[in-house]
Amino acid sequence: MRDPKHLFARYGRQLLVQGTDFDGQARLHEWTAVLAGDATAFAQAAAEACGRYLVGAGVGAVVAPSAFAGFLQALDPQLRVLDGPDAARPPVAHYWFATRPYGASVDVAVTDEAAGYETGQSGPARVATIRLTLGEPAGLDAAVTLGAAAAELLLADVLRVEALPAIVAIDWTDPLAPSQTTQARRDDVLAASAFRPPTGLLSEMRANAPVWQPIAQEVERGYPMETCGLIVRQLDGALRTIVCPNLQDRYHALDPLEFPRTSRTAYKLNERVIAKSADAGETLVAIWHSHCDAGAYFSAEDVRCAAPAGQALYPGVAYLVVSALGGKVRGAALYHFDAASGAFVAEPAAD
Amino acid sequence: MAITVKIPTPLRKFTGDKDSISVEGATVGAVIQALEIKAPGISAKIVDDEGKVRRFINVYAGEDDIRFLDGLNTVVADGAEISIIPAIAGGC
Repeated sequence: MRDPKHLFARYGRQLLVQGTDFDGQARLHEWTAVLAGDATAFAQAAAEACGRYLVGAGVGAVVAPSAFAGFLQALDPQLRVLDGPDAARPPVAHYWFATRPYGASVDVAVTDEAAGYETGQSGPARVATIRLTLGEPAGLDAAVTLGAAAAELLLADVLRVEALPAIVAIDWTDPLAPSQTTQARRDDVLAASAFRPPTGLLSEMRANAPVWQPIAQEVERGYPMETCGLIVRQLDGALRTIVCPNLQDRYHALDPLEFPRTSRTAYKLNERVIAKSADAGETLVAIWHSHCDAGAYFSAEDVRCAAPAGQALYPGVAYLVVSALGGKVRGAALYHFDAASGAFVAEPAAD
Repeated sequence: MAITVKIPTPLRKFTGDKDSISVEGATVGAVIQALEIKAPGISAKIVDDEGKVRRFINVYAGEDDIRFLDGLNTVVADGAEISIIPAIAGGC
């Protein structure tokens, strides 16, 4: 097994929820995901999206169709690509993506006990099913949502955030709505804290096309690299979006030990832009960035950079995270710092 | 060699709430040492035990992050402005 701290630096992206840690990331590295499905383009696209998400999160090995196994290997050169389901040893998650009359589904069967596996004496596999109800015709872009939801399900289980549910039903009516699993986690965080984040700022941004559209366009243009920028309030009270170049690759090239990530999984902008904005009388309201092939969560890396040692570097400034799956914006969440607990809490979605 | 140092909000508790301090120094490192005399405790927030600028702090000489110049040895001209700015960074 690789050093957990190395794993965390490389992959620490799912660990925002209390109770997950280096050990959780190391456990994930032990898992193999077997990705398979029927011959439809929809099932294949969902399997590929699931694979991207899992590999990005640090799963150790995959069995995948040759059509995208090479692509997954390119995402992480240390990934073990196994040949055929028989090569997988527990802990393993078998995924089966299928096109159904009502839309699509994925069955997830996990076998997490290695003991007795060879002789067929291991405990029964646990099985979950996600049903994705789609309008007609089913667009391929919905396959990305199904694949990502299936990946999140396994991550939550492996990281011991939530037990694998028997059935998750997703109604494809609002593609920007948070997934059921993400929503459940946010509710848990809120319930555990007395802090109530402000409301209304996220919907003000989303409803304001001149603010939201430049962000969405930049996120999709920059995919699969992270993009970033600021949202400022002008003297007249109106919000304004600033798109900033992501300088992460420049810092990584200069000092890969201090800055181990590339722009595929990290961002850094030129902070001098704030001074220029302030000179114009503008106030910094939010800092935005994208997560590619990952959810709109506030990651461990985001927390570490925004509030090292538990102190917010920009008190009173919110952080907007935009999720891009398969090249399209799929969600957004706005996080506020709770000084009492040292945690970032998502602003509730508007009703 | 008067140099103006711009101080970010989280570090103003060391400067009596002043947003800029004028000090003398021929290099960025010398400026930070001079700043420490006027604002005791501030240099440890900017530079780590190994003498490197901390990961989540940026020191700009004019428009440039000194990491891309000569680090703390970067020479500063009389009248120059040095900005200390907390990082805006993160990742998934």
